[in-house]
Amino acid sequence: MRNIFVIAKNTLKLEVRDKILYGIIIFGLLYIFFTLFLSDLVLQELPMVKSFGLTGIFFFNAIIALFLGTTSFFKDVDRKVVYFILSKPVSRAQFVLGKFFGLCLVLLFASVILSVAYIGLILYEHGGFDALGLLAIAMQFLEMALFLAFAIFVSTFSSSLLSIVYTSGVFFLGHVVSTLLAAAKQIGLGGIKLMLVEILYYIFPNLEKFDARDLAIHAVAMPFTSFALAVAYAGVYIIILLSAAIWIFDKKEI
Amino acid sequence: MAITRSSQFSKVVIFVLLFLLVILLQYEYDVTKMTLPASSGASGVSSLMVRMADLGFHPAVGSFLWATTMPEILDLFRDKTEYLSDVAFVNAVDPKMSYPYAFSVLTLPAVPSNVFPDGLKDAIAIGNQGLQSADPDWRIAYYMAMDYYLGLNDKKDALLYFDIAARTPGVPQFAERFSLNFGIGSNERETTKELWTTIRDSTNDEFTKERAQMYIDHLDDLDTIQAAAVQYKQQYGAYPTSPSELVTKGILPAIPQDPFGFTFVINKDGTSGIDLTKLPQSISTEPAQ
Repeated sequence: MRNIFVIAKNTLKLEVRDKILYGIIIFGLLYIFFTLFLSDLVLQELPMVKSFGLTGIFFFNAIIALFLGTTSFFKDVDRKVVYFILSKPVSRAQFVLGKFFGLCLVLLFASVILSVAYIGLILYEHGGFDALGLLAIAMQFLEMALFLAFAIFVSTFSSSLLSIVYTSGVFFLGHVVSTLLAAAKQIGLGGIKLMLVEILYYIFPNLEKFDARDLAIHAVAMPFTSFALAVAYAGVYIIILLSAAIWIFDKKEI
Repeated sequence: MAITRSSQFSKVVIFVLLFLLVILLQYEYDVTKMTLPASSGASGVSSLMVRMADLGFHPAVGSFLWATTMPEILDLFRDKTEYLSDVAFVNAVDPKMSYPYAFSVLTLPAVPSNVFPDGLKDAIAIGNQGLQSADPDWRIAYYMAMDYYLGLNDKKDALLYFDIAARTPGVPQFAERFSLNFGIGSNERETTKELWTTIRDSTNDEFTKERAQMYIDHLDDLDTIQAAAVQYKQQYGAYPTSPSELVTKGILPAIPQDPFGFTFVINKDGTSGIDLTKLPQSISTEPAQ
């Protein structure tokens, strides 16, 4: 456990020094401040200001997760840092878990900075303290954690560039799969085709359930059951992905 | 070798069980999840494509589309009707966003009828769609009431929509006060009361019946005070300055209790009205927007 903590701490230290990360965070902050002008464009309608703000946080967090998840693990293997770490009494499983938790901490760091800016923006626009918005950001964080786990899983067997391709694909499909199933039913798709879509729907990481933005923007509280099921879903899927990553990394010759 | 195989097998079993758990969680989530209104109508198919491609950013995409659609209202003056299809598209992408409905209800009737003859009809249709799908927004019902009254000369529907506006959470003080007291002037009070009586007697909805009765009582109270003021003048040569004088002089046993909580006043010409400086507790503070 201590080894995991040390690797996580070092990952956090290493990544927060990265200028690219700061660049993305600064662009995120600029976007949130730009939302002030966007809100003027839509006559300061609060739901629209919230929608632009939460979308910005989600978008920049997704870029950070994609950037960290696909490069950090691969860099350690590619630059032989992993030799040094694994020569100590550290197992490969601990290394994978340490990297995952470390990257989650980096993501949390970025999320907190962007959330503070968002909450400030909503207060400035006389929208009060947006607790539902914070819940939506927390759900986004869960989604990003799952996303990171997938990126680490892919990084154990493919190059950095391919990891970006695979992870982006999962991100896109993860959001489309619910609408895809609804559309398949709407157009009357049946038989084996519908079954394939349903298999995809149930097996593939379904990321729509982490989208509490719609609810937060329209000031609707997320039901506790949905929240709990989404947390459980993320937890189980992360366990699957990290276990698979550890399994593959254990067998890998480095 | 046997141990390795057994270990591999148990790992596979664990993975299969975890995936079954994922499927179960997804199924449970689908059963219990809350769904917001989805896209519908003529824009249904294309808006579905947008909702598929926007990675869950429906409100942001809807807001962005709305920012580009809003200026098109001016094109209606030049006989270009893209605004209508575009606003339908925006409403299909994010049906809960109330502003496009409210804006359309307010502005469409303002386009001259010789250029755009269906403005009022379209405004009412969009407004009704908004009342069904959008976040509660007093402006939709309030502007619809205005459309009915000023555009269609339909006071009965205007009363009903003003009542909806007055009951919408977040309605500002001025709008709630105006909506609850629409048509209480002494010259139009009788017509208003007749309309509310018709609504009460013709509806099967208990809630609407109850609301109509509240308005009738409100108007009756104003009539009672006004009639008593006239009687007071006949006896004492001048109108009373407040309803309490009517009680003091024994013309009224007590000041009527308004169902909406307003305080009654007597104007200098003897007509009755409500005190704008003493609003009921329910609307005495400006609600947050």
